Amino acid sequence: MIAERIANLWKLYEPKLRLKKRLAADEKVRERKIMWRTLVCGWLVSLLSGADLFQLLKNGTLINIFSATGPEIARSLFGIFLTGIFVSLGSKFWHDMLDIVLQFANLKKFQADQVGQVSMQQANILADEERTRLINKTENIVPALKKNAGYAGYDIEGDIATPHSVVLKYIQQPNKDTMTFLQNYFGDDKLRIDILTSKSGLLKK
Amino acid sequence: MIISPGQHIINIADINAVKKPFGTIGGPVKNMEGETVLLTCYHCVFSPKLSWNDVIPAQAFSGLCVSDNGTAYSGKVATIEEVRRDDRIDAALIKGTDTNTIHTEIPELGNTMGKCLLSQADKGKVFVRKYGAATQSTFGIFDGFIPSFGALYFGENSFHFLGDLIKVRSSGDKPFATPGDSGSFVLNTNNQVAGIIVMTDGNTTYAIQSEIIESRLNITFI
Repeated sequence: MIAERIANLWKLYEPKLRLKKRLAADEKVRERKIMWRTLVCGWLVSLLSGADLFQLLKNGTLINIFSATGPEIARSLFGIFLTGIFVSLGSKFWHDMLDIVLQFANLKKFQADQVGQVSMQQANILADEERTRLINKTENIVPALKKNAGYAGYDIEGDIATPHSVVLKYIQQPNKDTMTFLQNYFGDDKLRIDILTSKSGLLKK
Repeated sequence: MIISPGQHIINIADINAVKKPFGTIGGPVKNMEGETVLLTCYHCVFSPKLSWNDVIPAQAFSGLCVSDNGTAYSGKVATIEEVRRDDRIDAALIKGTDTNTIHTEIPELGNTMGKCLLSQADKGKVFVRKYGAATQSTFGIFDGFIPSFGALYFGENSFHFLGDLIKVRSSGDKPFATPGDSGSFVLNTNNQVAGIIVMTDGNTTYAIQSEIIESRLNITFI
């Protein structure tokens, strides 16, 4: 922006550059002259502020060109030369460029969110399927369970984060034969027996 | 007399019992004719003269008494209009007798705002509350659905099972519901009815889904 301001000021002080030319060829010459002045301003600002493009990209810091030595000087001067070209492109260019970069970043974030949502939906679907599978498996033996003394219902525990298991509710410990059957039917890791307290039942006092 | 949600309710057959077995008047609904009636559990207003398979109970045994505090009960102020108990539901519609009016606001919670549908994905995310005759206003968290849970109903020798009940766990030290709170509406934070309380296993309270009640009884939550 500083380089752009100086170049504008310079332009306003030169009568030949101030006004647009009527002929296209003359206008092109005026544009070229303004561009050169803008470039010179860009180089001067970069040189005086020590804005070496390589250093900026690497460390994000400015350099002191006057204390540089040996082959470093040539590299830094080339870096400053490149910075000057970028600086001379003007604030509008950089504003538009920033917009594009931000839009791109937002797009990436939106895509990442979409992927996250899809993954969550898939995890929920898988959890629902596993829950339904265990419900169906349990329902197959519910008529037999209801004949067990003390059977009071069943629940399915688990969610997208924890594995699902069947929780059979009893008001008393099922007998040994029943336990063996249930463990074989569901598998040890898929079965839990929940013995209810005397507080269980209807909520009428 | 005003009949209001949150009041103790018993069948008039139990009025002379020393320990009156009470439930809670849940809240208002619209019946098929568009009239405002009150909803509770069938087991809250059951009398041994009625049958668990009844749909329209005999009027001679469907008189109901209410109380604000559980000590002083009214005379017959309401009757059972319709009941249903099957594998999904245990509910009764009650209406005031001619001289008694129905109040629709639930104490401490306000008016209901229709029903809400919960899904298994809402587990642990939805806060609910209720006002019951036994424990008044309490808060809880929706804890998913239980596929089948049973209890021993009066006069029966084996458990009766209800399916797809809402599970609610208490959000504090106080239990979400205790005996006497049966029939209470379970509301979400927008005052939409999620279900009515029916059973417990000590730590968890179970409620019948409002959606199931609506379809089985042909009513609408208001």
